[in-house]
Amino acid sequence: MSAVLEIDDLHVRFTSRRGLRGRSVVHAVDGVSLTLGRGETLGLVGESGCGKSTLVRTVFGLNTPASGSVSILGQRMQGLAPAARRKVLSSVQLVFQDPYSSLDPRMRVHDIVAEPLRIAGRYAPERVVELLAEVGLDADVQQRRPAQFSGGQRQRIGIARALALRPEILVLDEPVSALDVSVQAQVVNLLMDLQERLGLSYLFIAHDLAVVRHLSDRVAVMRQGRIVETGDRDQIFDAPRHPYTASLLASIPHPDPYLRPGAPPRP
Amino acid sequence: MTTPVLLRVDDLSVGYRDADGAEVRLVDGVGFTVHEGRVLCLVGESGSGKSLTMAAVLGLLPEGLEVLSGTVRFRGQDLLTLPERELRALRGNELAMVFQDPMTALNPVKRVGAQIARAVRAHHPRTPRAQVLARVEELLTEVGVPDPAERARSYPHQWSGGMRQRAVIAMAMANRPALLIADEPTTALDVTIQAQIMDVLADARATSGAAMVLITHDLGLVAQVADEICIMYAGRIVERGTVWTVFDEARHPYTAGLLGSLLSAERAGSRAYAIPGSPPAPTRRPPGCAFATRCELPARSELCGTTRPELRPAADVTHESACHHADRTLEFARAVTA
Repeated sequence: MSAVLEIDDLHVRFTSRRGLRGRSVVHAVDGVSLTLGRGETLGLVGESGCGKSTLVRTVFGLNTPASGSVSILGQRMQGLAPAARRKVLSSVQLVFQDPYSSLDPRMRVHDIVAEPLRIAGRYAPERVVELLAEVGLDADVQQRRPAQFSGGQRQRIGIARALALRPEILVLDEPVSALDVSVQAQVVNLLMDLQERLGLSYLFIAHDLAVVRHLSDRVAVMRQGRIVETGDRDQIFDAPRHPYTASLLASIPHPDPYLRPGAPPRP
Repeated sequence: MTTPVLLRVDDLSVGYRDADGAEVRLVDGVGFTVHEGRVLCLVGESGSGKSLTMAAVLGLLPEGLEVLSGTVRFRGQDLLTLPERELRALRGNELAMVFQDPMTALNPVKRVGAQIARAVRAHHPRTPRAQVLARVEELLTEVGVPDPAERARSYPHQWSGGMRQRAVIAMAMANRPALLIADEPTTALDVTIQAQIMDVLADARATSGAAMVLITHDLGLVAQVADEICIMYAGRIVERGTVWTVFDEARHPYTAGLLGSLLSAERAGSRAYAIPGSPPAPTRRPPGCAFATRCELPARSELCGTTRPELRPAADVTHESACHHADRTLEFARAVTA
């Protein structure tokens, strides 16, 4: 499997002033190496503050790494000229967690989805309709504004926008955690369909291990800026090697009352 | 069930009157009982009315909303007609609350210990200072805060989210309540912390014998702690029963759909059942069953679109469903959870 995204020994540091004693250095990302294969879903799991958001920002070039590298589609981003870098980066798109704050409330759906096309000089109205159809929305939603949609529909609009420039990689940052339970499955199924149809590769960031298990081929567990364990989905979930992974797994409440301590036998 | 009834809610409706004076019901004819020492889970999505139901019980409805019908009896006393002064005497004493975001319950400019002390003194104003301090330390120890004497002197922002929620639980338990109302107490927290907080709540309840109403959308959590469950949809209870029967034999297609859409290990890599569409807005609820437009129960009929189903015994008196075809749901439930 060829790699579409390679992160190699990445270090990102932030310095902050601390009291009167001068600076302290925070190692937000501390020697992370990850590979995302073509057509694969890599789940990145970690609790708040583990550095996963910093890692994502660095992939998109929003943080400058202290050392290490990020390569996208075989091109090393560090040292690439800005124009060339922008071109490569258009093949990586982000789907945000909160569909309520990630869409401009004043814009119409058509313009939201068309925006990346216009910026790239590839705008065509038919393409917007095609993208909306791709995520299961009718063409007649185009003139409406985000407030008229439910959370699940807004997330579909966000996904349509992310697909506009025909990316190869989607970075999914907690894409269903802000959605109602009855709609989460809709969006997860949509993501699985899109991956099959378009051959997308997903870097899927989440804290909800049930969703991660459902969607991922491989899983990386991050803690305090480091990857503590990576492996195939089933290995990570069935036979975790790192105690932190095991403690994460132990804290998922299992949706079956008969598995709780002191439960009566199943009738 | 032989334990005495602690809280009994009947036909509770909450809402507002629109410009034409017509009632808009956000909570519509909800009823349930909580028995002493037991755990009732109100399960539903955002907008289902689960939080508003308990806000009405506590007399803490947001501005603009009112109770349109119903009774709320706590130990036989009607809370809805109780003077505010007496209600206030109950809240924080026999009735305690824990909310989703601990920062909304904590004052950012007061030391944590002082806030817990205030909760202790609020209902026992003459307690000597030394005794209050000892009680604060004891409460913090009970909820697993290390170094309680030291930590009590710090401010909420110096505490992590999980520690803050522990402090809020300590405040809630300060006067050994008979009923603890917890509204999504772990939703804002990381998974490992969630598990810790649920343990803290379980310990606190074990020590005090308090009953709990847990408001949540997390069926995993429900499966772990509930005795009884009320499933809410569009302002109404659509299914009610023990945790065992509801998870095992869902009698409402919405419950079946929720259980089917859970992403679990067994279904990894395959498509989970997805309930189509999204819940209707309170002003646009259909005349019949509010779930009818999303329902995929093969047995659904014209009746569903015209007549609103009432909650009534489905399997036996302890398991009720508001579905016209409650006797035909088991097969559907098995199909979507397979």
